[in-house]
Amino acid sequence: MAAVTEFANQGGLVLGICNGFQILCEAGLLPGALIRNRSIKFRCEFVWLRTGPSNTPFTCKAPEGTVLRIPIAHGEGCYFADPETQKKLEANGQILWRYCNEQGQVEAEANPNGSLLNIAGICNEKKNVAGLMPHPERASEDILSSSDGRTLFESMIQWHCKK
Amino acid sequence: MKAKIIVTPKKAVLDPQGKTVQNALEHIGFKGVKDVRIGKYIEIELEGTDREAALRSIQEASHKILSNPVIEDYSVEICD
Repeated sequence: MAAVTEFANQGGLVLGICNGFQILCEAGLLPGALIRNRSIKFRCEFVWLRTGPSNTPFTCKAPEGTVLRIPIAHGEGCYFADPETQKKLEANGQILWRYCNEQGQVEAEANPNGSLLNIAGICNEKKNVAGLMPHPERASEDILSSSDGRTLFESMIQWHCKK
Repeated sequence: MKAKIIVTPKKAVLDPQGKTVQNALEHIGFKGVKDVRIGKYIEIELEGTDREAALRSIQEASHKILSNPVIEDYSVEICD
């Protein structure tokens, strides 16, 4: 992890998916932590995500409010952060994906794991490190029944090429 | 020497495992359960006799790897 941390500190783009998100939090590259799902059940299903601010390398190809259909598969995906961290995440536009319904409304019923503020994924303050519990790589081709996850990787490529 | 470490979820953090055990206790007829919190207990055998140095290093290990300070508290005890 020391090499990943050094790469991130130099401004490199780092994305953590599922267990990768948990690791980025534990390594201190992202704030907060992922704890056991509120239901204590492993959840494996498609969910809907509402995209946050588009001024990041991970969301630049998805206008704010874009709704994505992407699967989850986790037992410990309930995002937690203390109230001060929550405020910072909101104020800095670091909440990149929230669990929502098909219409894009962020509501309690659409939250599969009890995450704070329906958080599915966040980025750091510098916006070069992001993590999310859903699996965009499992929804990147039509043959996988959704290609919505592709925008995340295309965003990163576009951002990187523009630099 | 032996170090005994107890790691527990912070008060402000939801503990679904504790909640489930609490519900199960009530379900089988245990009365008067106010709250259940589930953590972990770790024992580490140590070489040497310097208790203060052992306490310092185990506290560092607890902070870095045995617990997640964002969501957990820990206590350390050094004994013979």
